[in-house]
Amino acid sequence: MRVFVTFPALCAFVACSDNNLYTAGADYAETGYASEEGDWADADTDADTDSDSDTDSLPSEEENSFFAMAPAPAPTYVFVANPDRDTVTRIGVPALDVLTAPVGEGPEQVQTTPDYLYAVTYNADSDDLSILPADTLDEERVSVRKNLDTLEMSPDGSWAVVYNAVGVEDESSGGATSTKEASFVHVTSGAHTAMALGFQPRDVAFTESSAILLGDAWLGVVDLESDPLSIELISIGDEVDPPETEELVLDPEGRYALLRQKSASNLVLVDLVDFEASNLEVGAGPTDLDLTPDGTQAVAVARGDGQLWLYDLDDPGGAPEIIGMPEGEVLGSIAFSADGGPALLFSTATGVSRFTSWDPETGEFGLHPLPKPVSAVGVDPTGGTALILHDQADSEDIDPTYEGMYGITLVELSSFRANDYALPAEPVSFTHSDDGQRGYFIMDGKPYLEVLDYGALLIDEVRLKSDPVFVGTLPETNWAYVSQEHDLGRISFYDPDDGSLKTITGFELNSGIEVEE
Amino acid sequence: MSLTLLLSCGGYHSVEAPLWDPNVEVAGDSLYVMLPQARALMRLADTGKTDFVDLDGATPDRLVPVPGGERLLVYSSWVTCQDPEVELQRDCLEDDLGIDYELGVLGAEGIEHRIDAPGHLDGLALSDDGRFAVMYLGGDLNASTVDRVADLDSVFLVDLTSGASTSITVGFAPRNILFLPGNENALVLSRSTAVLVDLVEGDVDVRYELTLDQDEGVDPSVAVLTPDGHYALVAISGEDLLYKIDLQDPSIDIEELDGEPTALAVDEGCDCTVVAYRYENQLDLLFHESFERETLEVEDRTEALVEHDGIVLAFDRDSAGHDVYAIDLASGELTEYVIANRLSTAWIDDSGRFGVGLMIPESTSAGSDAVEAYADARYGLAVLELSDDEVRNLVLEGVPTEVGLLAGDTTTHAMVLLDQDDEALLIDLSNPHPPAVIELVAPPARLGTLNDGRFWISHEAALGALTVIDPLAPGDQVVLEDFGAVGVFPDDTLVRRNP
Repeated sequence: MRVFVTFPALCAFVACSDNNLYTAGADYAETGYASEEGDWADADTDADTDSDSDTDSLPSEEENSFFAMAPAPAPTYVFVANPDRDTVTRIGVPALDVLTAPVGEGPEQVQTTPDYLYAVTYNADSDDLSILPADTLDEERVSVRKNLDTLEMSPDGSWAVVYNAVGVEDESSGGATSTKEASFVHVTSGAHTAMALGFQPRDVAFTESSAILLGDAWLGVVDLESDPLSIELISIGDEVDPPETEELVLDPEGRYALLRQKSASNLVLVDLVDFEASNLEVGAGPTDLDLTPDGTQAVAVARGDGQLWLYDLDDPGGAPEIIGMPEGEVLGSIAFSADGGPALLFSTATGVSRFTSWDPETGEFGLHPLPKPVSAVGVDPTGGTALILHDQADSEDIDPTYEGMYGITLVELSSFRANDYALPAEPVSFTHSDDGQRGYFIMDGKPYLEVLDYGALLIDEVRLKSDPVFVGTLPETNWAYVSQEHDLGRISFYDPDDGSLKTITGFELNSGIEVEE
Repeated sequence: MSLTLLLSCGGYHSVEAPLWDPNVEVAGDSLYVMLPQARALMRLADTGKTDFVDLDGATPDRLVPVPGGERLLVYSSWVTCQDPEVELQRDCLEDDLGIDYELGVLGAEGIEHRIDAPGHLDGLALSDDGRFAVMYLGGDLNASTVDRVADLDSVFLVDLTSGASTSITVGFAPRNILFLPGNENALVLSRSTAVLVDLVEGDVDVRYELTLDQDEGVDPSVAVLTPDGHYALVAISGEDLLYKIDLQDPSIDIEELDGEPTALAVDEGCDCTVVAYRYENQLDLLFHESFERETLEVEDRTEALVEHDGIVLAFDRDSAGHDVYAIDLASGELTEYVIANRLSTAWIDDSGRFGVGLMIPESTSAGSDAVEAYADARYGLAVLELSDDEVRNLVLEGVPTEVGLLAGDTTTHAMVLLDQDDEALLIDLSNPHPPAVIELVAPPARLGTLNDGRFWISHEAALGALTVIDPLAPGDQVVLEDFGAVGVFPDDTLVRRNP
């Protein structure tokens, strides 16, 4: 499931296109819901495989969530929720000072507002939100509807939306249970609005003035500027047996939404002004839908026809531009670079060890070898370097060095000079620094922070004290943080400027500190 | 010293307690001697002048010197009878008998404060300015001292200046008390808990839980404070880690170590802590500014540390290793000394010129030559010259019971008492052999130092005997004898007071 909104310049990592986009999908990974995120990726199946669009027999294009961004901690803090202790711990950087505050029961998700002035937790067991000023952690608690499971913050930080997302397993606290309602909480005032949606959403995205709740049969548009809040429902599919909605693209002006549905032979265009939906023609087997870096076009990859369909977002219902992809190549996904440079076309389904470059300016395509098949692709924030992930699956033309191994390839997009690494374990979390100079990833069961120097195409390792769980970066800094396995909590902070690693261990003990007044 | 008072309910007197206790202590320029049979505390000058401290009928049980050298704490007790009509102890029914306890603060003018302190709290920690005392259950629990209920979760705070006292709950089995700079706060460590106590207000400021699961208790083993009092570094028994407890901004961090730490020694000069390990052949310097470690590799493991003024001695009491290491924390220089036998304990003299270790016998290894075999079979004293890296091994023909050091401006002397030996050895550490042999009036019992730079030795003598020796003039001894032969038949009248 992918949702695009109005920040195309941030869509650097196409294969995890909800990077930086304030979507629920990104939050799953941020809060440790890696498996749910994986389920979302799995659900992004290839339309071609379905009987109603039977154009080829390839499996789905995998929308790997590996590149999902970390939660946005404050520049000088990281907030960690402690569900077992009903607390949130704020760890300061670089001093590693710790402040712990009580919150509601079972804080399973914590997010910061984009201005970093507040941290918000969703407390699943007590069905409430804790709103914490970042400097004091003086809690304001707001009750929400029962049995919700997913917290989303609006890009301006004004609203927290809690809902029951499709595919997220959670436990009912008993009593009457509905999956078709949501709570909207105004962060600064604490005002709460409960709303029956009429459908169970898969995800939520935001425009400047509204929240877009995405279901399979319905799109709900909540006007966040109305008082009281109101919702408009737009039918986008068969209400009885709708196809799963897999991707949503919003145009930068907030006028349109484009949807790609599982096994559908067309796209859905939603007019967010008139609240109307219509079908949009597309080539056979659409397997990917993205925004161009400048946000002016939506691009669908029609794998069955071997075509790219480009829609002008000023007039998405107009005639699309259709570009044929190289013959003989089966390509199902596209990854754009942020600077508008070459995009990468690839397939996670064919098992071939190569990718195709496409220069949107010249229209030229190029074919480039890889050590083994692609599982995910991203481009660094500056657009200069592509990152191509490889899982354990091998192809006939595999480099023996990579047989049965995971791998990663760094590709300089100006010259397509590449450097590839065999990896001893599966990369499980990835992030990059704000300045785009470095990337970081961690591997399952390996106590290392892998540091990517995008400019040099090199990877260095930093030894950790225990196996990593999640890696992220502090906004507006070059620091990376890595949470690690430890019964009492462990997190390390890496400063690439001097290569130092600072670790704090046992910070969950801080929830047990009692300071007498 | 444990309480040895025996109650006599018969109609006659008998000498049922020792006349005097050789566990003598010093305050000011006086020696204080407990007289159990007389139920009295005697002040004794080296001129032989004696007088008694008024304990208001109580019997002294234990003396503890207060830092500063001018005061003593006097643990005392007295017999009570529940029947208010009974005046004599021997007239009281056995079931009505009881014991009350108090802690007295003894200064030059006598008892300054009497504190109603729980009798079973045998552990004691004193702030280095002598203002505060923290009493706790030290583990040597004598059930006879418990007045119905023993609170295992509290410590007893005493302001030795005002005499104010209070009991506060800190956690199970508190025992490790660290006084912060300024001595107005103390960190009290107990099982799974650390508590920062405000000694002035007599209450708890911060309570730190050291585990998330109280069913899985953690036991602090050794602990130190950083010189600025910002952090407490606490080792946990059986764990390869060090809790770093922030006392200013309450929080906990855990430093992982290369093994289980057994000893910590903190130094202000280097602003670092030396970490010794149970099984690792290394010493670590943990610098407080960065909490980064510098490892010093050593050939023999070293689980014990002694620190004084920037010098640390590291040695092992458990293995056959014969290496002792001295670390100059100012320079980081590590010096290895090879001694004849392993040590049981070690000291650094106040001048920092010498380290002294007490060597204990060990089994002779195959192939040992005659000299080695001779040393292996005996106790000994290792004298380490810390300035020029030399070591002297002195073999003792006897079992040492006490070792004391006295450092002067230019010389340092060690006094060694040997079990059941009428002679003591006085060793000039700069020229340790041969030692001066001091003829004693009786076998020695205990050894200590006076504030004027002399040794005192108490003897195994029924009526009392003490010798005062100036190490610079060992021939000019002062011998005090028979001072215990007073109050042999003490008054049996019950003490009727409510402290």
